[in-house]
Amino acid sequence: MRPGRAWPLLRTAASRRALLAGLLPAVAGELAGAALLGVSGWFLTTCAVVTLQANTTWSWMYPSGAVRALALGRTGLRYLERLVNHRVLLSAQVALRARLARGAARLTPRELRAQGDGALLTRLTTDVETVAGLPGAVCAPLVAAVTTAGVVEILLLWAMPVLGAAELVVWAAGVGCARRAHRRARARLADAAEARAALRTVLLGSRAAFSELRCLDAVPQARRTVTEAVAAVEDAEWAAARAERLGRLALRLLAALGQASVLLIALTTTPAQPVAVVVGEVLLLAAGWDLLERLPRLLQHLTRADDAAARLAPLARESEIPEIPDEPEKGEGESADRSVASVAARGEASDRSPDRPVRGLEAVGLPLPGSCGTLTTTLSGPGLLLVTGANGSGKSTLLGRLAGRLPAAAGAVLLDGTPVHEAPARTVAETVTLVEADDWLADDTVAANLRQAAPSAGTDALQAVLDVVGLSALPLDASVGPVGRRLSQGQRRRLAIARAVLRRPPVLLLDEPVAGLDRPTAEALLAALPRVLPDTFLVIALQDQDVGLLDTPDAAPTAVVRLGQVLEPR
Amino acid sequence: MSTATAVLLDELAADQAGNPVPERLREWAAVGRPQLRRAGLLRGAAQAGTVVWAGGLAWAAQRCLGAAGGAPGPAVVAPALVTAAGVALRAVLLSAGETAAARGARTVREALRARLIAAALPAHGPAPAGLDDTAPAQAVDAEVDELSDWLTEYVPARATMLLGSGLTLAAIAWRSWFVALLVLAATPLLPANLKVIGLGTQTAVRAQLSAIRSHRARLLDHLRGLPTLVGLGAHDEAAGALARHDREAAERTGKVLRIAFLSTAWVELLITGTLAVVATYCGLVLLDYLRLPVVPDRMSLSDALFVLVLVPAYFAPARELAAGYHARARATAAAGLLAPLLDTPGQTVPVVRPPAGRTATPPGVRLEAVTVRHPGRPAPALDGVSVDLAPGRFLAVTGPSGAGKSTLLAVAAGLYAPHGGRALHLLDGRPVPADPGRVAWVGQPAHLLPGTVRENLLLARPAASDHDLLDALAALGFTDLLAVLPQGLDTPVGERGTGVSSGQSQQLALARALLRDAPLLCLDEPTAHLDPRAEQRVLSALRTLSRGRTVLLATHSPALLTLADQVVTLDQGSIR
Repeated sequence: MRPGRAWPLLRTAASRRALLAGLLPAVAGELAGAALLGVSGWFLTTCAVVTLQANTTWSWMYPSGAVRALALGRTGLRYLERLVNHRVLLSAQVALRARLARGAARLTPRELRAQGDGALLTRLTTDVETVAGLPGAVCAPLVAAVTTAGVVEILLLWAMPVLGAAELVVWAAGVGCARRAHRRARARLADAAEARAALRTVLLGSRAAFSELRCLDAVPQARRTVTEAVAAVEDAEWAAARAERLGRLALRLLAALGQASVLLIALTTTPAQPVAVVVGEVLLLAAGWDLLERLPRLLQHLTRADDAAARLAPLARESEIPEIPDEPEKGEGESADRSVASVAARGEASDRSPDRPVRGLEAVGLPLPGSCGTLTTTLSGPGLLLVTGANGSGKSTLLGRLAGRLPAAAGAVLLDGTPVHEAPARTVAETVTLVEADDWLADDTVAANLRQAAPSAGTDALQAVLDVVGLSALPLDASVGPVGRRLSQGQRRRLAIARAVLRRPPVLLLDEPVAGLDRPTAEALLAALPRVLPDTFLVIALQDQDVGLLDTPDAAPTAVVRLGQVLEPR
Repeated sequence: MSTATAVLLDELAADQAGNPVPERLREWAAVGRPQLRRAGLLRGAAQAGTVVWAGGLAWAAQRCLGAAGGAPGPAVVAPALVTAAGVALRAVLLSAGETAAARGARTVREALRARLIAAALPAHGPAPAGLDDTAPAQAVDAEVDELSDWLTEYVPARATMLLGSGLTLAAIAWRSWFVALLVLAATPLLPANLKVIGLGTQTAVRAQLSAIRSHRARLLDHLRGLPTLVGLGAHDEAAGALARHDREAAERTGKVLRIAFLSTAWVELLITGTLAVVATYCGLVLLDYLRLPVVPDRMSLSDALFVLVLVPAYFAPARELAAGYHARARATAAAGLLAPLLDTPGQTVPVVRPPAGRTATPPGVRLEAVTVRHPGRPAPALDGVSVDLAPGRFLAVTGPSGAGKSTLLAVAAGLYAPHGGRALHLLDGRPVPADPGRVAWVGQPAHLLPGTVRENLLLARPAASDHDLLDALAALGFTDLLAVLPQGLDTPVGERGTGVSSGQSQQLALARALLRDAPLLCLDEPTAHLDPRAEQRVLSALRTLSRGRTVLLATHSPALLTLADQVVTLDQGSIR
């Protein structure tokens, strides 16, 4: 069996000791189960034999006690195994998920959006679970089955070498059957996966083009195509399942062969084995084959885990973000002090000490959507760049490019000489903060949302920044609801702006900060920003009709970029 | 949090509430019911194989005992063969049962998929509203499969248990009525286990379940906020908090499971305990040590072995049924996701199929106070919009994105039934309900189906020859298009139109509209994402296409607006 991809990924999340702790009770439990059956049969037969021989020296107490002990032991061991393996599952899941969630941050926003929330969530839940469930769902039963079969085989070899050798041949045939069935099923499953991809393509395409298809009267035809794709998937999967079923049938028939050969070989050769021993052997064998019957299913589960691990691979890549030496690791215990330390470090960065160069961005020949002009300017130190244009004229795109969230199509945005979308996320975060038009808010309290920007900020600081954006009436412990839905649009925007203000970034980009605000509030907000962020270069994108709000002496733009010429005909 | 854990807890909670399998699931499974029942019976009958196996083994032991001392020799050949035959019989019957179950499950899945496809792509009436495009794909591709285990494991399990355990019990009773009684006495304890154990944990289980769900919500929230969190440099802190929360939830879950697993342990204890009791009883009887009133004190080795090995076989189906609970919980969860897709209310539009194609004059379009609400959004997408468009005229709809332009077009084309007001087409001055059969639609972006360029064009007119297709392209001024495409009409088109550029697919969509030759043309932002040169080509093609047709066009582009006879500006669902 190939080691696959799932195992190495699992090993990063679960210690060898934890894995072993799950294996031991599983193996012991299955051994006890097989022994229970074997010893019971041997015990009964011996009872009959001693009665027949009128042997009064034989004590029934020990064997009968062993049967009871095995019964209890098996139950206890199985309980223990479940518990241990579930604990391994839970802790491996937590570890894997933490690692992958951190890995997800390395995806660019564009990649993130392309993945979709649903797909990422599925990966972080179902796929992680499949990989983390490997010890309990595959390793424990697999090792237990193989060990039990091995122990039975050793006992047979020890009791009667000829018998053992014969049985070994049958076992080997069984394992060969299981592997062959698995290989066949795998090939079919690969076909099925292809058919599934085709099905998705056809269905998604037909749904996307539904209006056109409907108008072209081509919906029945599209439906036929989708139905054919469904049939192809079912056919391929049917073939895979058939291979697995045949594998199981072969294993079960081999079990018949194995048991019959034990009876025949042990009882017809001279000297014959005692009948009690033979009965015990047959029952042990039956238990062993019962366990091996699961082999095809376990192998399939392993394949699934490998596939899940392959899907997780892009998230699980080792971190490429160079860690800043004094950057705190994510630990459980010390995280509180450490976040204080990290804020202190961040505070230094923003308290621009005189010997530290002023950080900023440089735009070189950045094309402006909707016009043939380009933008070449330096964004650093105090200043205000106004970006205007109608809806859809490319304001958000321009801001996204300045923030490094989108690569520039032509020209460049440079941060310390490197293109900003290639710069390490941490460096970018220290220089520039973008507040999108509908920026995300965590489903948490107002204070928690603000503390994302300044983890150790006191209540006073938070209240002060809320005053700046005109949200003084909003209680700090108010919950904002999922995606901030409990706040109004204007409140959401201002809260996101307040969060950005707390970071005191060298460059602050605001996308339509006053949409949904009444005129006095909007004017107050725009006037307050340059006042509280005297060292920050502000880039504000406004709709044409809002440009008048900047006509105050405090907030006169130092430069204006007008995008597009799209008219709004009346 | 782990779905398996959630399922396990769900199962406990549901069991205590006596929650039955949703009616919907039962209804869906009805198609495959005969096959599934046969699967259950075959699997139950497989226990007969186990009985034969036990009989052979017991017979062999008895023969050896009879041959006391010396080798039994050829006397054991027949019993050994019976033993093997028993195992083989079981194998064959089980395999047949599995095949039947798989076939039944396939029948159910195919029927369900067909219904989902029909719901996602209705051949008549308007498109299902408010459905995310990925939802049907997800349902057909993934969620239907969640039912498989339930269909193959749980549905036939009851029949298996009744027949299989019944057979085994009868066989046990035939050899020893007392052991049969012992086994029967242990049976009622089986189903009670979850309830007994569950009583004390119910509250904890419920609380844990909601904790797991809230963690999933948190995870989703975190993923949504990733770009912002990275931008704020707060990602590591947030990821750390998430992991802490995850760990706490996992620890609490561990505590609940410690108790929950007791229920499984109870079942095991019952089975192994019964086996131990039966073994001890039989042993004592064989040793002739047992002297009790009523209880039989005589038994042959053959009887004793036979009943002993059948005890675990008797309990096996019940154990499988218990394992099927997992499958049931998963199927229930999937059913919750599938049902709304099938229940999408079929907005009934009278299915009048006028002959598609040209009538003498193009139709007029009249919208009377049309209101449309998209589910989950408070503000209506269209709010009492009225439009009157004379036959053969060109109407452009403009306004900011999200103003309702596309919705207006879809309503006017009859693709979407409005929640209020009426959408009418005027045929020779006579108002009839809007019908997409009269419309040629070019969307944004132009959608091509996977296949070849020719197949995509033939959708519009299946009987057209290559010559007709080339004519249509030439009429629109796209003669050079085929020369640019690597394999001309045979150029393959991939998922979402890959293989042709967006400008090329827009040209193909326009050619399709011309081939369709419908009298009403609806164009939704036909030049969005196109460069000025491509836009110019579309513009000149539109001049040709709009001749003799009524045209509705949604656009931002000032160049296209010049073609219009009439311009309507929408803002937040109403005409400005």
